[in-house]
Amino acid sequence: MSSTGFIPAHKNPFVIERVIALPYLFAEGDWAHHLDRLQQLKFRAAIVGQQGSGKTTLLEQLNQRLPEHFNVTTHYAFLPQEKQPHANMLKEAINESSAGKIVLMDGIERLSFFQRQRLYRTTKKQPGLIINVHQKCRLPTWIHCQPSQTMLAQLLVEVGQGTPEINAAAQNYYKDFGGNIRDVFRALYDDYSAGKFSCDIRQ
Amino acid sequence: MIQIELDNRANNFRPGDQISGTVQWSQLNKTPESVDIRLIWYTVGKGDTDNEIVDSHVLKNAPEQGEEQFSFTAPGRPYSFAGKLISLLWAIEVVMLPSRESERVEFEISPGGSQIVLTPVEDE
Repeated sequence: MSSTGFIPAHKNPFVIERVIALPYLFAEGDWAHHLDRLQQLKFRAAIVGQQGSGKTTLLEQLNQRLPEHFNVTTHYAFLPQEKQPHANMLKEAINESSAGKIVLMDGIERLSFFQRQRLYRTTKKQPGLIINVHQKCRLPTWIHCQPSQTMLAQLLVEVGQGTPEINAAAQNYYKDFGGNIRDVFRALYDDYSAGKFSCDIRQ
Repeated sequence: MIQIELDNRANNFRPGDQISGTVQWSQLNKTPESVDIRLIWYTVGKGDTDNEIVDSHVLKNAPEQGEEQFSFTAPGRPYSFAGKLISLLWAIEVVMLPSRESERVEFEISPGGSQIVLTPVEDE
């Protein structure tokens, strides 16, 4: 057995936890501006965007900011791929909404048509419902997540890896993956782990 | 500001050891209603994460600033490990509720007291 240049997962700068913790970068405006708009939409809106565009990151960060900014309480639900928990999670979300919480739901498209309609209907007169979707839906669009190569370069700087070498690799992956920033970071994780970049953090 | 200090500045434990220390907080964004001190493990790496709150100590009606001591027993599993794709880390995590301001201090739990390193095996 040999260990040449072994980089443990928790020391890889592209580990998913660091990526998720990156602040969401708005194309324009700041949090205060967008929160005001969300309030104008009566906290009933959708975050729209393709896979890997930052919708989950934005929803999670919104879940932190809503209570601080508006003194409200929230209920966050992430619906997994497997369907088994969906009915209970839907029921819980509806109950929490009735109890006065703004419901934030990631993965609503995994619910059936009738489950989604039930959620829309039962939360209509409640404090709020904010969802993530891939395409526009019946709720007004609050933010349309549109990744860009400029945004990718900024994110690399945020994780402290904005070198020309890594930036060039990232931009190539960005084109290969059709703008899916999550997949770009996964590819960078593999490259970094394999020692493909000249910067060395082996400790 | 939230500070966690482990007794004797320890960062390596064996199963059964006492993990004890003090949490101090002040100048928070919001006065907490409760302070949740947790013994947790979590995975870090490529892909989805996994985590568990193994034990917790909750201080209700917390003051705007203060300190609280904690003591947990290091469980027998899972052991801390470090691999190329995934690492498992143990930590004391403090979460202020309802603001969710938090702080975390990491350490290792294993029979030998230090994390198990999963190094790649070269093909012969």
